Amino acid sequence: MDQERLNQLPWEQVEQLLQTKNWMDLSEEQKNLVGPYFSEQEYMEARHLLLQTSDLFKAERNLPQKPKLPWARLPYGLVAAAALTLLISLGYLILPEQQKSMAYSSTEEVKEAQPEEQRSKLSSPVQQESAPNLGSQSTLLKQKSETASSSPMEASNLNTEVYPMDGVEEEQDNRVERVRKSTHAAGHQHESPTPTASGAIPMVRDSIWKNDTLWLLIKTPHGDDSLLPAMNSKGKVWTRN
Amino acid sequence: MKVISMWWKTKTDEPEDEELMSGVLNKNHPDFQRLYQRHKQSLVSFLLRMHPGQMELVQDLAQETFARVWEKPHLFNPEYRFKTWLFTIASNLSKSEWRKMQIRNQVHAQGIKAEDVKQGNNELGADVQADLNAFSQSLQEALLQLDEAHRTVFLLRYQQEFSIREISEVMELPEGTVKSRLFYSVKKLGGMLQHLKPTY
Repeated sequence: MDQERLNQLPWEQVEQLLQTKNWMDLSEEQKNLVGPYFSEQEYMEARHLLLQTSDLFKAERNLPQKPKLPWARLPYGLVAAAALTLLISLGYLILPEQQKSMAYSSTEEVKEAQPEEQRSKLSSPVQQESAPNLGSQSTLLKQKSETASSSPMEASNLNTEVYPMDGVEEEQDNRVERVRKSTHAAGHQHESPTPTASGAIPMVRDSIWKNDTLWLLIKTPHGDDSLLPAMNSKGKVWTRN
Repeated sequence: MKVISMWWKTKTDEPEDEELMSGVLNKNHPDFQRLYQRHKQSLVSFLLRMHPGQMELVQDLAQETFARVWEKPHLFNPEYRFKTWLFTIASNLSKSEWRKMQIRNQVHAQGIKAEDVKQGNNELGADVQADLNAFSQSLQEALLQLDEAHRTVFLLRYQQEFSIREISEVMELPEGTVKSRLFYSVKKLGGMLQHLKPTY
């Protein structure tokens, strides 16, 4: 078909006819409109395509959530914890603070299982917040104390409030803001570069559950705060369901 | 009656995307999350048709799209619909991914599983459902016969229900070109799927 005719294609009108009328139902005028572009057979093929496409895409929009796969039934915290622990142990992430709200099971049991000397470390100001149940408590403790000792100025500016387990959901927005302020303040006050400030690795500043989705507040190597949904190794967003 | 009026109030109180974007501009996380929840499904559906059978890649592209919304909200022009901008980002990311894949020659023709459609249509009759399943599979294969530009135009128009003007904005093309691409796509796909006439 020549380009000149294509340029004059009244597509909206042709499309409307395709979606509403069979070839046999077209008036002479309408046939003259679509005639230069479609034969009768092509018209009906295109009509069937648009009708079926419309039904298909409507159906897809109404898709319910798929039933959970067995692995998806694992406690969300366990999956998140395993991934975070792996990242920390590989040195990709540093958690300068952990929050109580992440813990989905009692941290008291973990504390009781720890030796006295480790428990005493928890009593320092920086470590007031109980760590999330990430499976490897000792790794996190080590990580935390390393962070605190390597950057005392930053440590002094860390958000050290202890958040109650109740009302965590309502607190989340305020917490993100507080952490952001705390991060901002820390970034301005200390001179010695932290791993993040040196541009080496991103740093997780906080993590929150919101509408059943896990979000990470990350300080990028450029020093900006970025809030991103956490993903598992398959690139799926972590959700509670 | 009271329930209906409450529902209507709730519905009309729902902020528009563009209002939420002004919140995102001020790094308001709940506003961003609302946009994410509102559009993630349609974005994933679109990307899944562009990159069939590659759920991991699709999730990555969707995440990257929303990450850019969060990181660069100042690039949004409030004169246009938010969804147009969102799909412009996604479409560009998808395009560059498509080019990479062409270079690697790793394009695999994989259809969306028939069960995906089946699950959502319990209320439909068995015949209709069977038709849709067969059609979904065949459409996916036929879409892969189109080049990336024609496929994008087709999906934006018929899956995402964008206007021709919006598609021309997303793809930075004259409206005439969008129309001729739609014509070409519909004609070609219609011919390829002519054996699948609906029985309803």
